[in-house]
Amino acid sequence: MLPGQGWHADLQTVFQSLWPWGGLNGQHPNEQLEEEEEEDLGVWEDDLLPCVSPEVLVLEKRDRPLLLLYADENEQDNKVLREIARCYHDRIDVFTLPSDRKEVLQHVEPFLVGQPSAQARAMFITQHGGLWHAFSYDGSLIFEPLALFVAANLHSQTCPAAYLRPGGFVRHLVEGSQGEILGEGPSQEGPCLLLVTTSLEPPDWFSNVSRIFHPRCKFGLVCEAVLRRCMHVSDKAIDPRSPSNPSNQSYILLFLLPSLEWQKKVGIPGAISSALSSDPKAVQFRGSSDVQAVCGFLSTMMMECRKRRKEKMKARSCADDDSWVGMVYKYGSDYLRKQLREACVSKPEVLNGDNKDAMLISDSGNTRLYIDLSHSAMEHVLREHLACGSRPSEGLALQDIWRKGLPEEIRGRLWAQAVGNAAMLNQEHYHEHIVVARDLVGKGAFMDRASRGKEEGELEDHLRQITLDLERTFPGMYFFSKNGPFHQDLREVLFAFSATRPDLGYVQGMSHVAALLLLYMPACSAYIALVNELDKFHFKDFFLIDVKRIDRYCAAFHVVLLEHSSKLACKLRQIGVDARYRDEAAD
Amino acid sequence: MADVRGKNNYKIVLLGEGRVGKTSLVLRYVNNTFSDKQQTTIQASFLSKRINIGENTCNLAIWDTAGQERFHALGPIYYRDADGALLVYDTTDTESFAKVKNWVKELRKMVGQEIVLCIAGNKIDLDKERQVEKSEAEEYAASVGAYHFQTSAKLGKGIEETFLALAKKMIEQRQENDSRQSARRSGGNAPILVVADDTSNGGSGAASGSKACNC
Repeated sequence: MLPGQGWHADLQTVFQSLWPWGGLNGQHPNEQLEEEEEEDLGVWEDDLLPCVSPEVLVLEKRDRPLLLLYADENEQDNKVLREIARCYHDRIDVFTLPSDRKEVLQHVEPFLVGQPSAQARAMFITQHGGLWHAFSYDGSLIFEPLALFVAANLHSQTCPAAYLRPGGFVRHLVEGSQGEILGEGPSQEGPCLLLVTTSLEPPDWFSNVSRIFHPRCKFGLVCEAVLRRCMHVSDKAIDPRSPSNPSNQSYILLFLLPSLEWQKKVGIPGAISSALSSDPKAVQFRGSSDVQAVCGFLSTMMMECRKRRKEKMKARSCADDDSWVGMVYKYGSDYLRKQLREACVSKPEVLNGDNKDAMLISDSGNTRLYIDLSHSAMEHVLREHLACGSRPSEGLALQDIWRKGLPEEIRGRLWAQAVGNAAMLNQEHYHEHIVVARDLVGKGAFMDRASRGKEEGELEDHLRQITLDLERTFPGMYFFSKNGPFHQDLREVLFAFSATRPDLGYVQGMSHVAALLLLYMPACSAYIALVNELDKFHFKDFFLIDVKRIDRYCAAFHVVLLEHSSKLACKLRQIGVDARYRDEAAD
Repeated sequence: MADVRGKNNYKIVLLGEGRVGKTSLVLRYVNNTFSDKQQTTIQASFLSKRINIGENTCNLAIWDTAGQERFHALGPIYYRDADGALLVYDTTDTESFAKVKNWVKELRKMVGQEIVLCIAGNKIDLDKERQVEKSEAEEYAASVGAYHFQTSAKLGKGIEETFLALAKKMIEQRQENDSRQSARRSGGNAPILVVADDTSNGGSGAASGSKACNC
């Protein structure tokens, strides 16, 4: 299917669709594998593994990955072979390769990644997203890289965008890779971060970071032994580990800047590229702050690239103010603006300064690298992600961050950006409405329904109901009670909303949404966010109290409940609780 | 609909304008708590209480609804298969009493005579600001065959009595319905019993109404 030349482009599209966190196919391939774990427990106990037969190679009928190994008289090789079979017997089927590979190759060639090799000493055939991929390995059998490769495939089930080379291999965690980062020098597309590891699985934090920065940076695991043999990484780069810091708690990451072509495209400045691209830099991280540290480092790097590009674009045109850079400049605090200006990779002066959020991450050679551990770094990361047009729910780790709660300092701004402003509202709209509200409140007549003329409109009605509800909104917090700091703001935001959306008006329940927004952003932003948010998804239908439309949501909920927890759904039905509003059906 | 609810389960729905104290009434009754900073009720909430009346134990399923006019359309969802309705108004607000009248009309029209109605004038602790006179309210309640009580969730006054009267009447009503249904099924004696039932049913509303005026 993808043999020979030109497979890069094809693979890229395939890999993109295979990306397990964003792909169309929701099922994690790993789940499939784990269910089938029980079989074939005895395979490896035999000293002699069965030789692969043509029936085994009919891939359409297979449901487990295949590992084919070449066994000969070499005692060492046999040992390796048995070791690997022992490690993975429960996940994969292991067979030996016949001395004549032609028949095997015939079967797997359509799925082979790279060139077919008649000398292949090992083959790993695995399925991703319904498509089989065969990787051949024609070096001598070395346990570590081979096992690492298989494990990475089985455990993380991300993408098969790497293949085995005699000299070594790089295992990529995210899509779009071109196979040989170390063999051919820095990859063509974008920067790459490699974790030097001796373990078979990447630590959680590394996977998280890779998810956050996907797809703007590539990530990979690389075996240290393999790394040392590679031409393009000098010993100096991986030095920080052994002599100076033998602690097991630290990790070595290699940051590879991409080719000059890419740098030109992005507009990376000469100073940085000369500092980093000549030789991959080793960056050392340690302790519990790893995710944040790596994120900070990467965001600083990305930001620099982006900033340069923006400046270039700004020189051409002043448009694109909706970008996060524009947002920060326009609405951000002085602190943020300063951050943006000063975000730079090498800042020796910080070392002596008071900036406690900055951390020295590398002191090798003439270049000192600092990373920013502050919230602003996190904000940059998330803003970047949003600026790419992604929704907050995209990416597992990112979703986690949103759900667990953003740090308070940055919450409001990020919420506002995530909600967006499709309604194109601005401060003037808000002021227009609150002038009316203040006028009405000043007169005070709206509260007294008895003396009110009939000609007075819905707005007074809304204002009356809003006023009644102010103190009843999160009453335990006192923020919105009569003398609370947000009493007036909440009234005005809600009034402005009901004036902006007369079709919705004010509905009880809105006050809680508005109150939450007000806790983290100024009144005008809260108003803009409220109007935009309540126009989304189910909010509109629910606040319109359109029974038919609500019923549709309930029916959908019922189906989902039935699917996920049929027991609960049955029990609820038994006791007469049904989410659906059965109008006539009940009778 | 009767097969959905258990034998001793009775459903009560609270209706009334916003901020008259529906939630406070229920919370005082079920948990014996009161807060002058009560959250707004969004759509509806549910609480239940088990009580003993004579030899009977019955479970009251109390549905507390949101008072804002906008939620009016959802009313039928809650009162459709209710055994009783507690209509709450604020004694300091005539408009809320007018709203109770609307609810009575709607309930009689949509559910008929089967639902037991009880009207509660809440916030009698604010007697100085009273706008709805007790006699006026009682007169109205009697005319539509409903109980009437004066309550204060803040002081815990009149609430036990309200729910107790409502529960008793609901039990009575259900027993009547059951006997009527079984009578219909049993054939022979049916014509006589049906006539007897009809008269007693027609009169019971007015009778209970006048009885209720004594609080």
